[in-house]
Amino acid sequence: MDDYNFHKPQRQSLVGVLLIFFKVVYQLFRIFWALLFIYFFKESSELLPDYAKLGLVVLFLLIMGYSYWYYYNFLFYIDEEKEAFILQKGVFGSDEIEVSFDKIQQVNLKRSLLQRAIGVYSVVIDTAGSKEKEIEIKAISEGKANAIANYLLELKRKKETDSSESGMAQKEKVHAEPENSTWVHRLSFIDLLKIGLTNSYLRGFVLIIAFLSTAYNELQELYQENLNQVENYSKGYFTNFSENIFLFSLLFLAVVVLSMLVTTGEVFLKYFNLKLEQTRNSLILEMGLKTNTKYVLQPRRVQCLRISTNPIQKKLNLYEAQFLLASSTDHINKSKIKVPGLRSGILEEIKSFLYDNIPRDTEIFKPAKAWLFRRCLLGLIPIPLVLMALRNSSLFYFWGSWAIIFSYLFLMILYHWFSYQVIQLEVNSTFIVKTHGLWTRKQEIMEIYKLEGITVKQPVWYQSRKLHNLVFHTAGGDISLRAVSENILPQLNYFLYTVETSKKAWM
Amino acid sequence: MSNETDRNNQEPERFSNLEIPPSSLPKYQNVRFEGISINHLKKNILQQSLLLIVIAIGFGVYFFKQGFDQLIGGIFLLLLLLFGLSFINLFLRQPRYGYCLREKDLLYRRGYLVSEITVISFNRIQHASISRNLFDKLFRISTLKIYTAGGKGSDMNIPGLSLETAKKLNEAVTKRITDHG
Repeated sequence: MDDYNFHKPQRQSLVGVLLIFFKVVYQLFRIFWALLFIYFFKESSELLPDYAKLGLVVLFLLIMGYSYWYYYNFLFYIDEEKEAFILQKGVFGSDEIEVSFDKIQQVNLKRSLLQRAIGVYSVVIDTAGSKEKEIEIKAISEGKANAIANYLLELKRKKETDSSESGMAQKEKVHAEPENSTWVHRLSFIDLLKIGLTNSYLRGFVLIIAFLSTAYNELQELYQENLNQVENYSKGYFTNFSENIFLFSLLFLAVVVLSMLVTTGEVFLKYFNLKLEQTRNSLILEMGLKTNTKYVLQPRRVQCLRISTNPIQKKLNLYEAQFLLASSTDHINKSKIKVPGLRSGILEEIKSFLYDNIPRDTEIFKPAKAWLFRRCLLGLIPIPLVLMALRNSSLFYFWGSWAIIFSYLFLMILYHWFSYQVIQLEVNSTFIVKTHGLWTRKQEIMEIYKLEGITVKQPVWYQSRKLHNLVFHTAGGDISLRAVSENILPQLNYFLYTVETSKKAWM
Repeated sequence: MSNETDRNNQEPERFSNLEIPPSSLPKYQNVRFEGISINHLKKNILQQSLLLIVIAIGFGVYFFKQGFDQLIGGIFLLLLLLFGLSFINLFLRQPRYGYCLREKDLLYRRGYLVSEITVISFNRIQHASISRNLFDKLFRISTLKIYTAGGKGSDMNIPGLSLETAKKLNEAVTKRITDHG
């Protein structure tokens, strides 16, 4: 590896100017594309007038100048004294961003299509906290990019005094020390197939709805025609009708199968060769067909564990675990690591690895009945609207539409009633566990000492009932529960006490 | 600034494993909140009024050029009504803003229709900063921004603090972060 001196301020590769240029042009295009569109369609025959050409040339030069100036002012270096990575940038003003080594969460290399074409990498330095605190250096040659990533991670490791911690989720470039594993979980071909098929129900459901509504429209037209043609209907009409039905169901089936194939394909692409392995102090996850990614998960990094399954998947003993890690808001996906197709045994292993022991003495909190009532009330809103819309159409007198409205009412109340039965918040001395979801049952497990803060909301209409909406904040996301009785408030003081006296590493 | 921590409650010993009755812990419900500057209200009124004036001029020009028409007039009335409500809202909201610095955490209260209290522990705060925009400068107030590691949910922006208070708070928070960090 070449030697690079990162201690002096330095610029990106010169080709970076091109990247900036394209980015500006792209942004301008995104703002003005509609104008361009109109121009080319309205006056496609005419050529550009001279002043417009001149304007374009001037614009081009301006953007070029801007890009170069941006490139010129974009300086980064490592300050070992301050123990920080420092970036200076700014065209008109000037910004200095300082990231101390211990705040660095991970250093990743990325490249877009354009960057691939130019032959450079993006170095992304992720920090916990707000999005302004994330740094991306867009044009760096491969060798240099690797060198800076490794160097930063090394500095970070040195800085971190407690044990030999490495970045929380590193790309394969940085090797974790081989350790003997306690257990390994792999997904077989059949597993992937099962996951794909059981996951596609939602998409299938949406498609069914979309299809039924078009089919209904079609039938509606036929029905109208039927009314008009009631005098002179012919045999041909009926064959036409049944043919239509047949075609519809065929097409429908094809779309459902296609959607299942697509979802299954996605699952294969994402989770192919998934391997989850527990070593002495971390979980190592490898997966992916297109881009093989490798994550190293340490218990303290996991802010929240979300386990979800639906009845079909439960039958097949398939659970999905999501590990929520500290994140900046705009990278929410990156900080959610999903592992599907876990068996309940493995799930227990994961839990016992992440959490020391789960106390039994739980107290259960549920939303008040007022919550159920309000949800049902909100669910009623569409009904008068639909009735208003139908008022003047013949459908108003059609028994079918009333049947639909009543079945909606029935199902809606049933749905909320059963959701209400499911939703609950379990609290014990170490954990907060929220369970919710009627079809996809979700369980979110949060360690109390990892909480960042708590928000208690009380709308005026809950004041007399003494109900509160709660939000528990962690670095990986929030858990909320609505309309809880005031009995939970002493618990909140206990949570705060736990967080404030905790000395454990939490991120 | 006032620290309203309930000092009578002794801290439970660290290495014993006695049960801690939640009732003996300091209660966040009982703290006294410090209000924010009345200039915050003035600033908001000025901002709203400016917006209202700009909109009114816009409609005025339209009516002058195109003549009065019922639809646009209706929209204008509706807007006026909304502005009226939002002015009332400003007045009602103002006294609800409050913050409280305790030994180990920071509390921030706001909202009157939905009253919200957020508590953030100092050992979970990443950093704090003071921000002022043009209007803030005009009224000599500033906003204290508290950043945590997570998403937007747990970040705090306490508006309408006089610059001295904001600086003092910022210092206090920063000191406590390093103490606990």
